[in-house]
Amino acid sequence: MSGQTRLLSIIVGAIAVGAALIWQATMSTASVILTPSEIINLKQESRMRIRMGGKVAAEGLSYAVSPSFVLSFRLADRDASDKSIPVIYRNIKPDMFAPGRDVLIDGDWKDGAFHATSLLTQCPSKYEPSVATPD
Amino acid sequence: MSSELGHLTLMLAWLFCCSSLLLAITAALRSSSALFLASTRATISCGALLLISLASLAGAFLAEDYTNQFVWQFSSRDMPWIYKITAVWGGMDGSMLLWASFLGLGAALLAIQQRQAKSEMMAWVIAAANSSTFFFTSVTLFSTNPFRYLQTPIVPADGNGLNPLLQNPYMAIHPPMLYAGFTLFAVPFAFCLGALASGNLSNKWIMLTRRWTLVAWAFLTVGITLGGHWAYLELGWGGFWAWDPVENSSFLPWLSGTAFLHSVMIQERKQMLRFWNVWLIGLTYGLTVFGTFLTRSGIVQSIHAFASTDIGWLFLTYLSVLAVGLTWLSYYRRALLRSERSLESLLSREAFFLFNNLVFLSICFSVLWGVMFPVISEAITGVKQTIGAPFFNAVTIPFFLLMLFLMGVGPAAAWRRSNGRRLFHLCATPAIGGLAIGVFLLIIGVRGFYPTLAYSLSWFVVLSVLRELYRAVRAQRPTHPSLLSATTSALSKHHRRFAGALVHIGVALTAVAITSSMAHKTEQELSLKPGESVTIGRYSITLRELSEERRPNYQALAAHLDVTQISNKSSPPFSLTPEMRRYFRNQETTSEVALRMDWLEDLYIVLAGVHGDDSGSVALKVFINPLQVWLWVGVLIMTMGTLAALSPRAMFVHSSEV
Repeated sequence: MSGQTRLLSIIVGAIAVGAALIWQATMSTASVILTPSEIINLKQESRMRIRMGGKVAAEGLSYAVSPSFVLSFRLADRDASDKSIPVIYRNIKPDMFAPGRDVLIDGDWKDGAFHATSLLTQCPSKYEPSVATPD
Repeated sequence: MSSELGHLTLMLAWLFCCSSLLLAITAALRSSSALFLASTRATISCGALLLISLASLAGAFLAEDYTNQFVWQFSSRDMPWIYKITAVWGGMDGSMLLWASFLGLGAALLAIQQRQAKSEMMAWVIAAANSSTFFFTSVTLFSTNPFRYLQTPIVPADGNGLNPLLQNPYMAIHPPMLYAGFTLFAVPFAFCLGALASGNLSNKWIMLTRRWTLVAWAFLTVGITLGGHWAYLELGWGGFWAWDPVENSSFLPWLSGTAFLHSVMIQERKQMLRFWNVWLIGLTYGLTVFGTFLTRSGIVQSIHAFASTDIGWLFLTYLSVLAVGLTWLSYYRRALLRSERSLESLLSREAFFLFNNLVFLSICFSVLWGVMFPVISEAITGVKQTIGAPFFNAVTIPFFLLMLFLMGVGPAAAWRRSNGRRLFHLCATPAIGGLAIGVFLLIIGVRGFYPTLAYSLSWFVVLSVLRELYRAVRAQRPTHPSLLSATTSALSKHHRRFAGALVHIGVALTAVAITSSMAHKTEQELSLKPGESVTIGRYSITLRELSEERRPNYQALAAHLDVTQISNKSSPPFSLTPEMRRYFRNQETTSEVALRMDWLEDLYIVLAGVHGDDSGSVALKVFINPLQVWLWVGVLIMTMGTLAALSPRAMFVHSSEV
């Protein structure tokens, strides 16, 4: 085999291995993106990991620091606040976490509550287009 | 007033940009040096006007001009003056102006540097550089103009204020560095387009862009790292990289840019890979634009909130035009893009550079796949799915380890063809050294396949560099009596090679730091009453007192901690003061991390809250991040290596090689 052909076969082989690696990692780590109301409508417990986006409801927020950190609150859909689900996050309350804030949560839905493994509060102002006007 | 000046200069800059674009194209078509000179002058004026426009926006912020909507939305009177200036890029509109200004400045520097060139190629290069400026200036002027008036009958007394997280010294330096990196890649890309358009596809454009690419790469590297350092110090989760879409979008052009930096060396030496290099720089520039698209269009969810905006479509159109144009040009010039040689052996320097490119592009593709996965999965399955940090770690770690291996072996391979036995012989000593470190780590109790392998490979890279140095110095010994003069002579003779080797040492250090922070980081939650102590790792932490203090724009709650090191009694005790800050304006709370840096490990403490039971006890989260400081040192060394490659001596060697 000439160098060129051998190189080509190495490249093809490497691409195949890489693609398999990506595929395997995707399948084992993907989570579905749902809103709180979609989770309420789930027929049974989802076995997939869930990423949930929504708005922190004004009621039902509590934060305990002893004996361990527990942040519990209700999360509502971004555009409608009448339906919300309870969320439990056993960690430090992140900076910028507050009622009305948009958050992204990863975790599982079981026993009627969403158990969060990670919670991200979205920066409220970074690249929003400037359309707001003063009250 | 300042706002109006900014708007006016922005419009003038747009006009100058249009005219220099047209002048440069006409100059290229008619081979007219008078028109070429005119186009360089217009380009320089455009750059200057954009800078004035940017300065005027900063002026409007400083003057608290709340008739300007953008100024109103992103600042307030109580902000320190420095954050009023940095608020220029605190929002989308101003960040687009910053981007356009940097592009204009890059094009102007290029025009100054090349104004004597008078070749058809340079006219096309100036035209291409102006086309980038034209796109970004047009978007800024017509779609995201930061000089619009606030639509309100009365001028508000105070502004809306800036997110407290952005009121940070890093805001002054991280975005400009990153944007400088992004925009400087437009210059090599302009050279590439100019070379394609003029048909001058010898190595000239590669030679002329070497320094631009290195500078762009250095800025991007430092910019990304500063972002990580900022996140580490400010966000209080003990980490520096979260595989967030915004971080990823800056990482993508870095990956393809690094591949480009390496593959141009083969073209320079061996006149190979012409087609490949054209596409690699096209990809790199495209990815900088794609990153802007990604972060401003709202197509992916991120911790950085982006409302969906219509400029996404503009960017997508621009990217399509670039892709179609580049495809057409490279098809049109296909005969000239053919390599003069083919690869002779898989055990050659060329082949290792190719493997390097393959690995970098694989990482680049994996990250792109991860970022776009929500969009792809929704399009194919109808269900919106996402993948996060576990995916990125699972996929990229093997690739990064492979990269470390190539970094150790590649430089030992000879051009054209290596003797396999000789290559093995050269790598044997460093490989044994790397293995020894691995075995040693296993004996002292370090566990895990990946971490051990990563440490071994990093040490292998460092030893390989030392072996190279040793051989180069030994070759100089016959003519140089002293070791010092032999070393100096070796370093200056192989200047570029050892500058690159220095970058590689920086990468190895960075790899060690990242590995240890991933594999050996510890975190612990605890609560402490005043006067109480707790032992974590080699530290004993005592809460002396809790204090409250009112500062200009926030209320601070501070836990004063005294820390002594148990294992090392002789080292002096020190105190750490993590804080919680409540900003008056919007009642946001942020935490201020207390950090003790050390060559061995960082002690990183976050004040998480105060117990409600009147005992005055506080909740703390304590992280111990081993070898963290070496990440920053490693990147510093990478930057120094890049600067060394840029030094005049390197330029001299470079021009004598041409």
